[in-house]
Amino acid sequence: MTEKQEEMLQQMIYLYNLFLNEVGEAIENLRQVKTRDWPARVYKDDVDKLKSCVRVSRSKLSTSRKMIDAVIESEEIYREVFPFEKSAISSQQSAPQPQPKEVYSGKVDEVHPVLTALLAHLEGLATEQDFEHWLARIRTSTLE
Amino acid sequence: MQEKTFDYDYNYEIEKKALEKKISLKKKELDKISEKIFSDRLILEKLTLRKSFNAKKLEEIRKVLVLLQKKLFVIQRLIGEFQLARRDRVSL
Repeated sequence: MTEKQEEMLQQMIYLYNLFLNEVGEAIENLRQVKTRDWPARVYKDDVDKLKSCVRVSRSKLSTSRKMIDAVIESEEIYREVFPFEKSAISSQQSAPQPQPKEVYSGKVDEVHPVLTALLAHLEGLATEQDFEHWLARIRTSTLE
Repeated sequence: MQEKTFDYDYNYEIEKKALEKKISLKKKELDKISEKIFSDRLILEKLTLRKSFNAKKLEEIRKVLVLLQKKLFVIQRLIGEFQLARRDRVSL
């Protein structure tokens, strides 16, 4: 495996790990979306709680979907650049921070900026302020 | 002294029954969709349990996410309708 190949792989794994974190939170919220334990005469509090869980779950799922789209896109790019690599990728490997300033040559040069842009978009999640801002934007668009 | 009347308010009773029926139908729909969300969540949990991935698995995860999003949209609307029907019954 070449250095560039390794780096692309690490970036994909990093994206996938971000996705796993977000989808984990979505799953936790989805556990609360149930009407099984409601009594025959439904309380207003139960309905309000369900409504709030649904709202949070929707927002988390929407973020997760954007992330999985990014992973799928980067995976497609990877397959185009390295067509003979078919084995399943394990995200348990440590994913280093991406180096967007590095210059590539040949085919990788055309494709790599796309992956870098995707990462730069998701990298914003790492800082707390951007994360809150981004989530608030997604929540607003979801509620609208 | 005011005279007592024993007239039966049919309109009121019919409206009340109709609203109760509507509430019970909405509740049934809520139960049904929350069960579907439950099973989709289990599938999603299973798919994201292992940390390895390939193109096929990613597509499957995406499919489940889309289905869940649709169901959550439906349940959100149903909750709104359920609340509205209950409010109408109270204000009747």
